[in-house]
Amino acid sequence: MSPRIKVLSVTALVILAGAAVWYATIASNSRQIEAASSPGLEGPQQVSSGPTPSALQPAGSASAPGSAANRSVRVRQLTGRAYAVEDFGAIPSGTVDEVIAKLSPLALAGDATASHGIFLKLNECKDINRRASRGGALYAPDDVVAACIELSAENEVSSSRWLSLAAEQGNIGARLLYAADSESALGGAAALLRDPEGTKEYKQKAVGYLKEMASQGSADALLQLGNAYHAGVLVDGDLVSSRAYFEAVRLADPSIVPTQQVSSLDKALSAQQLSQALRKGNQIYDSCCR
Amino acid sequence: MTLAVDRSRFRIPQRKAILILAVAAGLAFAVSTLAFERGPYFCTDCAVASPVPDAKTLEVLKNSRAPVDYVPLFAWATGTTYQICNSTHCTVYHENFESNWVGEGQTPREGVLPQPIDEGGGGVGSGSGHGSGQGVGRGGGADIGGGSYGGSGRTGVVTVGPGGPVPKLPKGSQEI
Repeated sequence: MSPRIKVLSVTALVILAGAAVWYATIASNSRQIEAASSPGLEGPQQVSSGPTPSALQPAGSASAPGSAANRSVRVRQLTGRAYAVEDFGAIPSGTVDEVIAKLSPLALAGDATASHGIFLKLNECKDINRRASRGGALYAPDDVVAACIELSAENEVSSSRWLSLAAEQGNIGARLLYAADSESALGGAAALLRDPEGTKEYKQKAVGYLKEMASQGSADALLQLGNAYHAGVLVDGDLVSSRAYFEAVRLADPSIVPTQQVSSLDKALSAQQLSQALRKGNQIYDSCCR
Repeated sequence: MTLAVDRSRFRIPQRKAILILAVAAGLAFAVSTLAFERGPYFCTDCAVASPVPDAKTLEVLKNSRAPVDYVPLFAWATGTTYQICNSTHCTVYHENFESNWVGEGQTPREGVLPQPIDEGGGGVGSGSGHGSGQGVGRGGGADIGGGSYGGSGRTGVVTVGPGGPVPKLPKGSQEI
């Protein structure tokens, strides 16, 4: 092969690689249109107009959607006992100082909604400060912005403690975020490295929360468990378990299953593993949601 | 008969190999510094909840991913974000190290709310305008005619336009 042909081949390969990268970054735009025009996404909102969750869910557990810890949470009933959260509760209005002063006595007295509210307010400040540093629009009243900018570092760091407290007190939104985002729960990657024992404890707690919520019919928790077993960070990776949790979600409501992730799992599993996963998924659904 | 393969034909000179490696490394570095901001993706029945996405939003997020974002930790490493909007609010989501999506706060959508019709009544000049029915479209000639001159004499009935102010959501409101 002459050097010229070699150079041409390499050039062609580079062009092909470039085209692949371009396609990969552009293709999502066409999906955007598909998502907008998909009948499943454009249909009427499936807001629950049925019975209240408190009437359907066992109110014995602190983390059940009808419990006092979740009075600001609005859920949508799926099949059987399964439910999906529609609204985790609004960020309390007012400045961050006012919110902390007002809600912290309640939170410390055991009110999960108050603890979660303080976390949401501190998290809002984090978002505002991030946007301010980028020079973006802040979408908040001036006094709220000013209070966030003046927020002490100590208070900002405390957001993870409020989240942990709200999760312990049984708030669904707090538990899901605690398990989904180690940064919010522990205060960043440095905390993970600094305290390996704490990290181990965090993982156990996070998985415990998800499993408890999943057993009560939370589709959000089932989805997170499916993802956790797929990603292999919070728990050891296990594609069969991952597919099983997604199957349980599919049985509860096929419209909320991440189809592409599921189809990639289906490709990765052997026929035997897939049938095992589907069986396990049915068992999970039977125990949590039927 | 066996065909002997001359492996030397497939060898790339060292200098070219280094060049290709350097270009590839440069390309990888360039991609890693790019923070793709994808979207907005519209989903009418998503709650676009933040910081935890609701199940419907999560489904849209996962199914809208660009092929390259399926590469494990690519979206996390590049800081790629996805913006999902419902009819009133938008939320920007990023993927974290645990391969979960986390919202960075909701923002109200601006300039897209439909203006209510036949509501309000706060418009100026309700009732009949000057010129009482004379004017364009009524056979009265041009704007100059029986009555006043100009815009206010076009029709007999003044339709109060989009009544009242556009119902903008309060800034900072997180309700959907």
